[in-house]
Amino acid sequence: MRSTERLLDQLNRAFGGEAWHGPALRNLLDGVTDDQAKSHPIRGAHSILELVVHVGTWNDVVAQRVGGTAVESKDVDDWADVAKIQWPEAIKRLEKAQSKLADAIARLSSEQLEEPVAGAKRSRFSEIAGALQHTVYHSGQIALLKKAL
Amino acid sequence: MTADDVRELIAYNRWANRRILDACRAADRSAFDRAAGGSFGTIKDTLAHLAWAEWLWLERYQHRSPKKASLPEATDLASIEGILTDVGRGQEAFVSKVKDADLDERIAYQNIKGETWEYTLGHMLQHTVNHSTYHRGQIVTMLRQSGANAVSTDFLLYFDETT
Repeated sequence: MRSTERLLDQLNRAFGGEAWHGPALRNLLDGVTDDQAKSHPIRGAHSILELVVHVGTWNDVVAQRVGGTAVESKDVDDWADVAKIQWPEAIKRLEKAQSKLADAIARLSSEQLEEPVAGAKRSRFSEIAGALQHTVYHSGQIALLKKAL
Repeated sequence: MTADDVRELIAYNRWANRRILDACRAADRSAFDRAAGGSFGTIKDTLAHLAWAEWLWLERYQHRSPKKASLPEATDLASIEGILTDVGRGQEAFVSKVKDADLDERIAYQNIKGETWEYTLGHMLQHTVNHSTYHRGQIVTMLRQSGANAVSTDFLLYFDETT
């Protein structure tokens, strides 16, 4: 299996496929209502809506970087104010970012995967691996929030 | 993904586990044993599960299929830290010898139920890190819930701190 295929497989499994580590992110969001997404069932923790917007924002940034556009982390609207974002819109944003990232990876050769990502010294592989870990990390948190609802 | 990429992932995983252990050590002792409603109830149980899984997958990379853990009992933070330290050393020694072509080697193993599965070594190594990351997210949430200081284990922070 080519390097990019292996990464795409992992990314797809973590998002909507058969993940091994636990439920895939998109599957976790099935059946979550608008009210549940906005609630804070665990003191001190973000809401599901906030986490979904956060993951979507960063996957979009990583897709841009992998595609050749340098994006400074300080310029990213991280932990965006979600007051005006409706739950279905947040899911659409997440899906769009996921699709954009998968498309960016699919266009890479194995050699390009090991080259520096736009605007940083780390490789494209490291950038994508970071996005994958980020998605999985917050998936664990969303699973926990759902149990606490 | 190359063998060097895998070594980076495993090094990241060890770094992230150390940060989680440090955060648990700094937290109120009672928070460690308090049920928080996650997949494994308490921070202690979640961390013990993470350590057990890392040990089990390390066995499977090496063509072994243990049906039960031959590990010290995970009774407290110190014992779990001991397991993770040993397993981390084992992982590092294992990946230090891995070559690019090895990542496509298909390895068959029997799971705890006795069912046979087969995956490439590359997938198994990636899965190990994914599984621990998934549960680290839960542990950090449980720490926050208990009022303890949160700790970041982000991959890009690892880069900033180690390069």
